[in-house]
Amino acid sequence: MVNRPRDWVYVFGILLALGLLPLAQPSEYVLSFLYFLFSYAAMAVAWNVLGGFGGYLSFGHVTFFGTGAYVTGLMLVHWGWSPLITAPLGGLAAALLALVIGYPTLRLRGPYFTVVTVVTVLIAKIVVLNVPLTGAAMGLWMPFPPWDPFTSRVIFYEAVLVLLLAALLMARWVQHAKFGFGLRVIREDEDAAAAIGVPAFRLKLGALLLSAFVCGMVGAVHGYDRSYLHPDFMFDLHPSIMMVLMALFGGRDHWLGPLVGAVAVMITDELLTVYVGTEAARMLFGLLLIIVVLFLPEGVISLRLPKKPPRAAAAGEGVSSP
Amino acid sequence: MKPLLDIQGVSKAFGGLQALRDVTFQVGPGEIVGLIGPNGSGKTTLFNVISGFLRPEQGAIRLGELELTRLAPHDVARAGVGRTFQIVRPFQGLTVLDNVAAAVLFGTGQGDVAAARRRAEELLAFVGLAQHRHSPAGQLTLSQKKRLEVAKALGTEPRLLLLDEVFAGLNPREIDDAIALIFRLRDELSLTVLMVEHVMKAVMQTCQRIVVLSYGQKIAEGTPQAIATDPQVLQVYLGVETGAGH
Repeated sequence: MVNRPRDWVYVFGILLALGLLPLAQPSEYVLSFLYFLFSYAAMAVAWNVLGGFGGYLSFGHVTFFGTGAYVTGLMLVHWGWSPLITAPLGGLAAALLALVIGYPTLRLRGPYFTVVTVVTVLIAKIVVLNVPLTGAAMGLWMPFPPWDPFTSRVIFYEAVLVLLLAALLMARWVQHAKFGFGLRVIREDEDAAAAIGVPAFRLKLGALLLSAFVCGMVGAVHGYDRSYLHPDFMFDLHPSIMMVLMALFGGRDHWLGPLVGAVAVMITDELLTVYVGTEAARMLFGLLLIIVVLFLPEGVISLRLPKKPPRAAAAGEGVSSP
Repeated sequence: MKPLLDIQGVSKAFGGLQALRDVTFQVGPGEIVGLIGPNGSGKTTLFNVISGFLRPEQGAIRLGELELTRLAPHDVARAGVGRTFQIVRPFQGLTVLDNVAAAVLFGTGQGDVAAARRRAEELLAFVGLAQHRHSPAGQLTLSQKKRLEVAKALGTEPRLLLLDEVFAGLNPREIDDAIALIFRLRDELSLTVLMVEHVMKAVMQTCQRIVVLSYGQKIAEGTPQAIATDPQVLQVYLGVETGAGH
């Protein structure tokens, strides 16, 4: 937003400080909680590039997460390559799959695209369940990470923190670049966008590949952390839905929105689970989401970012769309 | 003079409905040409065919030397055809400025957002929306939204501007302002304009030449004076029996 170039200084400052957190010997519970938070946040931030800026709601991003996990998992099992090193290859594999999925489906609009993304998850799961290479229904056992439990937690914590940082830098760049302009006008009106020369299909495909790449890398790290992959939880719709909720909850029009959403969602979910119990937590949580969607359609972040830039400040550079 | 826009034998059908039948006409550089006809006569279909949103079954469309017929809409826009929509379609959630900046970025291949915004400021000043540049586009009045449509089309640096009913819904004063704007498009920006219009006052005042469509066919073409007295045109518009030409 206008005259808010320092927002990112705070955000990246906080993230760097969090990178030093393990020096304070926090409990494994804290590290584990933040690990999940960062993983989800990284994926939600990346998802938002297509889903938020571009307005193409995908419930299929867990497919890219699972792909990254399986591809790097197999490279570990067969060749002994650590997924922490091959994570970018997992991301590339996910982006390649995104190309295959996106090429036909991104010609569809709105709800049709969304429905097809759900179906891709189901198809991916069936494929993996039936391919012997992936261990099929037995799952894929990987060698355990060679560190003691605490070191292991710290390493995975730092790994997803780096991915979150990368996802934020990517989303922030997209938002302020020509690319982001194109995605937003596609969301507003795809025909009117074409009339001013926006190559909609190419931009949507680019956004899908970028977001798939990040999800694939998160999947690689997460798969290694678990050391056991099974289609039932690597291709489960729940994480897909969580990404969407976090982005919408936080605010889809700003690169920071999904991070804010991830923090809000994870903390609320955790508190409700601890103090009210899992089942009731899910219900209350659903209720909270309905309230946010109804009363804060631009997300929680709109409480902080004014919808309209003040007249005096508006002359400054960096006027992003509200 | 070589035509800027050359439409040759264009036909388009929707199922059994022949929306355009063998339409042929040219628009010369610097001309302001009106495209009129009763509702459903194929005017907007022709605009959609020219701008690449619809593919004609037959015929060819050229902009100068460039064949537009098989291009996708975004490529037609980049080739130099700017268009407005009959129902205004601003990007509601973006500011007025960013609406135009997006057109500059994608219509001209400009990659620098700050430079695109500076260009957008100039264009908004040209159409008289400078003071609204930081408002969300959704908050403009209809007449302002129509000006924004024009500014967006200008952002792509077109050679040819297709204006689809920019006068519809405007009050008499706003119509006069819009007429003045169209003359400035030609005189100050050297643009060629093809406009679909129902507001006859505007057509008669601005257009040097008028093309009349009826049931997808061109039934007349000529100066405003000639069209106003053409028996076939009168018959189509007013149902006047002339006894001639059947």
